[in-house]
Amino acid sequence: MQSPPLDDRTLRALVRAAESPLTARGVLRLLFAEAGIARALALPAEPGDHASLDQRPIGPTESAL
Amino acid sequence: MITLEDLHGRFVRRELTPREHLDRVLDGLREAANRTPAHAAVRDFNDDQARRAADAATARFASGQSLGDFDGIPIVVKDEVDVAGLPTRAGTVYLPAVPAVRDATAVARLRDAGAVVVGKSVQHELGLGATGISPHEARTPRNPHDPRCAPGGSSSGSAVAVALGAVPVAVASDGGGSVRIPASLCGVWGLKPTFGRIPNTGDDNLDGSVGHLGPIARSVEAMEKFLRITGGHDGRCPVSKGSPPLDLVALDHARTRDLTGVRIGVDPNEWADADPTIAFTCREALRTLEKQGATLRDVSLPMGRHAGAIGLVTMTVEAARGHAREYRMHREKMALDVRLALAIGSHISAADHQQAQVLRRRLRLQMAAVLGEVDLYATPTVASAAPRVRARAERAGEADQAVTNDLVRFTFLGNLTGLPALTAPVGVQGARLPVGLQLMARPWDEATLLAAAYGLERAGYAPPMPTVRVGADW
Repeated sequence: MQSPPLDDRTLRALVRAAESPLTARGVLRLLFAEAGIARALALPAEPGDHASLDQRPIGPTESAL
Repeated sequence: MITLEDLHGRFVRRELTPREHLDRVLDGLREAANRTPAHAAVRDFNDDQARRAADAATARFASGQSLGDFDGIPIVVKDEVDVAGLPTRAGTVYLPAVPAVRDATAVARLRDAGAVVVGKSVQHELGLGATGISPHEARTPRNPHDPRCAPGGSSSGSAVAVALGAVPVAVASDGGGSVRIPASLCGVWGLKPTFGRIPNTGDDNLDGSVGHLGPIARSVEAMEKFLRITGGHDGRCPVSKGSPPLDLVALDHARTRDLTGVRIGVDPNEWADADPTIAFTCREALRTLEKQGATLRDVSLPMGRHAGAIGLVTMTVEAARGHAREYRMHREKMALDVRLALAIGSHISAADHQQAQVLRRRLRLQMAAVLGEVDLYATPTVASAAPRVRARAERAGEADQAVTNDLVRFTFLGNLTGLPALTAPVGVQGARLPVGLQLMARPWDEATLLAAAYGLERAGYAPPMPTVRVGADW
């Protein structure tokens, strides 16, 4: 269930919370949940996983690399 | 509504001069901006420079020495892309209004081909939003198909200028869908080429791993010609290094290519996330390609559902790094949604960002495997129709994660993989809101994308007539 659009006052409060070291983590968790990020980041590891920094597009013939 | 090829033909036949046309474009864009609600697509006009360029093009046509298809063609350029003589403020009110010293490489190449830069188009601040709603532009450029609705972003003004009919093609950029989303919502064509195909030099906002320059256009031919002119390595652009040359033979054949044997992949699980009427309209367009010989095949891209999430982590972290100085110095002047995105980006942990890149690689490999089975991969461009513009959103900005999720649902895949992607106008939803079909292809194979787009165009798919337009009698 996603939240409705935020009004100015709520959005302003959220920005303040996001900019405070004490509450930023909570805002992050909230938005991670809303955007499906928490679910994605929690995916289990798979064989061959690694964080490639090479952003060149990968063609089908390279998929086994 | 005039296309690039129509306009060029009229210049060649001397039915119209570039200068006469430019004057109508300037009047038309200003008239649209003065409507209520406004369709203010251009932030900074470039009258004197544009008139000089149009006069030069007029002289060339008069002497039979035209530079080609783009000669005398009016274009607008997204605010974040440098145009010599005009400020680059990327949709902000705090970046200095100092004229850029030189053109971005893509702009320089277009001007060398005779294009007339009318001005800088409005955009979502710093490119950090998919709606195009901005409190800074005073008047968010409304969707020409329904003035109650947003145009999509971040290249909002470029899409609106093309949809209004004021210009046949515009320069836009795309870090998470910013060419394709506004093009789809405004009912025009948009192309995000392969990562590195068009040099990013002169667009500091694309200093990351997901940014691309590309055209928004009224016709497939305009996208093809734009790609021919702007594509190719530039020594000042690291991401274009190593990009292969354009396959000119394949591009030459794209317009008339028989689609027999072209396999188009569809993942039904992905399509299930789109509004049913959007999905239906897009499937009808695919059936048109099927009638021209293409075959549809079910494929599976399980990581596709996470592309938006991976993309948001990647993009916000890169934006927080790239705009750290602006955030530190000017955050009080930022729209609240942009300020929130940068605050969030600066707090995402390195571990979470790294995990997102692990997932990104998994997605890239899955997509490469899909493109081993098929030549094109199809989805709706966005999952829901253009959102309404709420009055309070124009006062301070708006954070509506549900809307954002729907708008970037299918587009981030193209940015995270770097694969070429286009959006085609394939109909309208409900009363009048346009629907876009997204097609993606293998790396550097823009020619097959364009061949499919030409196929749709041959079958009658074209930008729908907007409610608000300029130059109805052109």
